[in-house]
Amino acid sequence: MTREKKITSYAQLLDSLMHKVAIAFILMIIIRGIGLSEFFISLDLYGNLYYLQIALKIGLFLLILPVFINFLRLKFGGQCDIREEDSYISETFKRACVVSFALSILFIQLVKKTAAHYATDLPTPVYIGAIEIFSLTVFCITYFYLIYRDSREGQGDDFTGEQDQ
Amino acid sequence: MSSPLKNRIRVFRAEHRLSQSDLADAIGVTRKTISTIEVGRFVPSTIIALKIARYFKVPVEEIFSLTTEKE
Repeated sequence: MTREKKITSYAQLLDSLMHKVAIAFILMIIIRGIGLSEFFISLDLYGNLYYLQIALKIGLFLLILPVFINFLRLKFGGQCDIREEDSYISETFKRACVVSFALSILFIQLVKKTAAHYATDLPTPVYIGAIEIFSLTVFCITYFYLIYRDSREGQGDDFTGEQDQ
Repeated sequence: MSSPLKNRIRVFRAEHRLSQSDLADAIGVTRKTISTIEVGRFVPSTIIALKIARYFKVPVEEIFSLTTEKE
């Protein structure tokens, strides 16, 4: 029983870590968005947003760190014999990464054309930030859409109770 | 969009009176992974398929099979 519990914890921790990384990406989008706003809004307004950015960075850190430490403890602490890293969440994560990568390449081409013809005066960090935000946004939309779509079906059927048979 | 891989995990679970969580715990995955395999949303790795088959003590072909075009 103890062994089974440890194995479950590992699988759940891994899924939890990946899910929280996806949530962290949302925070990163906002953080990068605030960073980019520096180039487009007044200094006073940016000064206020700067504190929000700091708070979000702390939130990001607090979101990921506990799960990450637990995950490392389980992975390298020798507390788990069976390490099955393949899961629905990791597969969904990979699919979202692929979609994000493909669309980001297209977006980079678009940015290259735009930068060359229409927005030559914008500094490089703006383009880098825009690509980063686009990439993370596509990832988050894809990931959470797939999770939402698949959560509408495949709810648990428990056959453990007498009433189920 | 559903996978051409058919599975009889639900049937085997029913026979063994197992919940998705019980099976997930036994083979070291999450309940979500089992539920999405059952409905064909997630095609499991060979390792997971073999673990499920080993757990039920049957050949993997008894649990997983490819759907034919007629089906």
